[in-house]
Amino acid sequence: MKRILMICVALLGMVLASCHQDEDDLFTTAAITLTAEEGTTVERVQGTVQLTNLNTRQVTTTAEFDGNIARVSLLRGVYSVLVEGSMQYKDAHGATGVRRFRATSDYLEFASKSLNVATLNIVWM
Amino acid sequence: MKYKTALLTMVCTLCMSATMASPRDTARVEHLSMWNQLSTLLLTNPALHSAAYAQSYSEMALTIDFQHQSEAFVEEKGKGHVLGALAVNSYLRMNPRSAVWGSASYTTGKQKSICWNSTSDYELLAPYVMADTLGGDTHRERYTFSGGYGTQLGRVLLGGEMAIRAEHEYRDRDPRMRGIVTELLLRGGAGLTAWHYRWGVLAEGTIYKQTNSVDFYNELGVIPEYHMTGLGTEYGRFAGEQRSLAYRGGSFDIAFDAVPTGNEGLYGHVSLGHNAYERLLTSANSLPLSRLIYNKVETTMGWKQEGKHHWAAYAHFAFTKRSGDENITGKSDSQYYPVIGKLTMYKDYLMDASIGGMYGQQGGDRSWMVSLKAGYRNHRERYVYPERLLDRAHAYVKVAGEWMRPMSRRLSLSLGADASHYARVSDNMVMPFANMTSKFAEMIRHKYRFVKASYTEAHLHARGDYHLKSSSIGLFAEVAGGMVLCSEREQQVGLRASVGVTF
Amino acid sequence: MKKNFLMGMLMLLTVGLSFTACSNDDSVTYTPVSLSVEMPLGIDNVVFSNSKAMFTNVQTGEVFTVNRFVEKKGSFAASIDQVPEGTYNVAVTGELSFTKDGVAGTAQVNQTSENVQVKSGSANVKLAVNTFDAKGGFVISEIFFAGDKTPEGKQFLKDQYVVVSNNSDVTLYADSIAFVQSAFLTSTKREYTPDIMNKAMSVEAIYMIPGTGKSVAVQPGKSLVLALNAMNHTEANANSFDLSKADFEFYDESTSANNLDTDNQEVPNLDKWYCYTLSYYLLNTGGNKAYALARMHQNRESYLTDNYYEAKYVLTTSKGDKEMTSKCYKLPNSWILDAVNLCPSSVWQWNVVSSALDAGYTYVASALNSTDRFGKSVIRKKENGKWVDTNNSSNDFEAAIASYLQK
Repeated sequence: MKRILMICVALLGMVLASCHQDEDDLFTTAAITLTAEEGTTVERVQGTVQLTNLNTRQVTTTAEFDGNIARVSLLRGVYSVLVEGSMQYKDAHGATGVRRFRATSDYLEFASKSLNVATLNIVWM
Repeated sequence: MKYKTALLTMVCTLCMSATMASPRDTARVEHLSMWNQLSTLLLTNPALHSAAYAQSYSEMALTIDFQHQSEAFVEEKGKGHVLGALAVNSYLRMNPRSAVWGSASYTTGKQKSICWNSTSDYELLAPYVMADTLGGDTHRERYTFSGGYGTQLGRVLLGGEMAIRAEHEYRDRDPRMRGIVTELLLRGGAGLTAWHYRWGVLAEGTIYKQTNSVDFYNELGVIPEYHMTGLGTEYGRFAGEQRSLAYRGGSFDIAFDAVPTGNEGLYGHVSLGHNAYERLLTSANSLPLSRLIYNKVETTMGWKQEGKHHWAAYAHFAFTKRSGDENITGKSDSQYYPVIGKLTMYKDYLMDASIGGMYGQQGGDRSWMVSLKAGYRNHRERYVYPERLLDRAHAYVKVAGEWMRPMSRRLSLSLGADASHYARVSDNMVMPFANMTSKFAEMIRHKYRFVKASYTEAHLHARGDYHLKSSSIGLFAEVAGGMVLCSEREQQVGLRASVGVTF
Repeated sequence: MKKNFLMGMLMLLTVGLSFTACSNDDSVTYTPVSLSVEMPLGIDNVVFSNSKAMFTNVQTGEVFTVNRFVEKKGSFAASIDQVPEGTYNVAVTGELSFTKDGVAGTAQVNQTSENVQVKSGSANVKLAVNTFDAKGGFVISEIFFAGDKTPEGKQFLKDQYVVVSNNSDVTLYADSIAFVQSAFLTSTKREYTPDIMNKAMSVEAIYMIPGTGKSVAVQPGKSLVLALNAMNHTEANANSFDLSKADFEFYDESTSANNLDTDNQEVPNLDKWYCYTLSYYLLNTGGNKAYALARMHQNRESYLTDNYYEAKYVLTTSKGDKEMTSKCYKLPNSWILDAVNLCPSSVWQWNVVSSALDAGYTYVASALNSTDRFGKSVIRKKENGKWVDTNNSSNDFEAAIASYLQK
């Protein structure tokens, strides 16, 4: 009887250990790079990146830019992205300027568990 | 003097006839006694079920069942129902080694004031149901058929069972939900008689399908249908327009049992189960939206003794973990959507532990039993991100009693009563109310109000059986009633009445 | 035997209780939180006044406010000593005054960030101020496209209208302003070739306000009503309103004898340049098109000749791929004064104008054909007497009872 009880408890542990594997790797990092027209170098960005999860409609925002790249930790998924703000740039002639800009995408995939990279072309406002 | 003798003889005959065990009554007591509740889990094994009863017993009943809640305890299940059913159950002992059993039933009626659920089989598929804020009454029809056979070959017992359930639920005004369910169950069991015990092993599987849709006939338009993903969240991308779903899945369970062959000994049951149900959006090329997975373990261990007095003591434990996977849907290409990943967003843990005992007498055509059970139930629900949680724990105690006795040669009476109390021990809720729309927030607050409440229940039932003269057929009538009082100042009343024949 | 039984029960209960051991730690941890508000590049002498930051705990609804900001290297910083860890919605409001290229300017600050995680070790929040304002001119201030219900509960669509408003401080003339409808649906994304969206809007209806140049004067803050049918609709539908005094009417010479348009002779007609329909024009009742105002820089004949094009896309069906064609006209983005994407949120797939013109979209109800849509318009918000215009309809518009129904 004792042996049977031990077997039962061991089975219990075994089954629970081999349960459905939850996918708990929920978050990923997205790196969004802003590019202007050919010949223009983006030097500094002040702006907001707004990411809307297309499946859950959850909105994540960040204002952290490293040069022309914004990095954000977010739930793995597919997103529409809107970036707007002001940008300091150097044009093809080497002149520096500051202008408002916008960049959008209606569909970007950030589903990979490793770094997800996306590039957006800006439009001047 | 002669007159007195005749009178005395009549009285003695009456008394004796009252004490003469009718085979029909003995069979009924054997099959319907509360003592059998101890073996409910074990007897799902068809091999053990074939050896469970010495006598045959069959019953056909027409039942009407009414239930009403002053406020829906679970909005998704509605405020009550009115159901009528015709059912037949039969267990035939063919010979000392073999038995065959079967059942068939047809149920029809109405579920009242269902809200936030447009899918059938809510308890099975929650939280992954389609839902809207309007709801309404639904009509239900259910057909079930089952049959099983078991036999003993030397020390080995073998048995098999099959069951089919078909269900149709619909609403005939907007939002016009329709759910059509089919479920097939197959069970195979084996047993071995050794060391004064019957050891059993069971394997069973189900195949489940449901087609579910919501239509609107109103020319003015629609209200949004949401694809719920747990604790007030929904799959926003397909809300509103996509209203046609299919559920596919099934389960697989194994169980091990032990029951003493003699009058006393340890008995035990361990079962492990795995269920999985996938929700498909048929209006988007059968896009799999989500998958609900259950893993369950259940075990009972006890000691029972049968003799002049029956008594048993047991401990029971059940744990179910439900996980919900949401699929990440990619970019559509002419209504074809690829799945590019999945996230386990919903988790549900339900634990129930109890101890109990039963005591009474059972012999021949009569029985009386009392039982006491005390336990603890802990239920934790999680939605991982943004964090939502709903936890509650209850301690409960239940007392029950049953009395079955022949009143005369033809008439037998069964009375039963039970009372229980579920007391709230702890509860907790975390919800991002600031980011929820008012309708969803209201729905969650309603849910929380009732899941954390304390409940007191009481039920009574009475049944009379009458044997027809010179016939193996008997008639019976049963009434049952109950009341549930909720600490939120709401209540539920239930009434059930049945008439039928036994044979 | 009984001893074994008791041992077994004890083991069972131990296993069972171990599943209850994993429970949340309900104690609340507090943490200081710092906020940094970044100012737009290229502005100087920034003063941030009437500043306020509100942290709203999304679970408890508790609000933590800070009014004191300190300037630090071009940005403004504030902090709160103790807030419970959790998820917050952050809102920053205030007024900016600054100089840009030597010219003084002011702007309202209204910046939000949702679902910000505040935890010990990760309690620094950064917001960037966006002061973009499309700066006056004509704007679409209301679109009533959903119709309303008759007292008998039937749908009534004849009372659609559009309101065009002067959002500047000077009198403007609406002559040669055209109201246009997009050729593409915001609820159906296709890979069109050629893809001209960054240069032009693809349109399928163009109706222009006629005039000689200074015929249609609109005072600052005033509006023009363009009615699909300039009639007193209360005669046909007691729940509707009177549009017989509208400023302009959409009128089409229908080629279908059973579908004739009505013409109120008292109300001047818009000059129809092009429309896809052979009968009469209605605003898209599903609310999944984009609309715009444009100043036309050519006459009708030369415009239609120069700007007709066919947008091609591939339709994938179960029987294979098929190339499809949409006939449209190009409307240069530089001519467009204002654009609004409309789409019920549950079916939105893309915006059909350049993001520089409109980065968002608006709607009266979340579901297509929702019963909630009747009697509602998309109405541009107003702030300090001016219509809000950031070229983002998600921010600029809200669903509300149609203004004619509010009268």
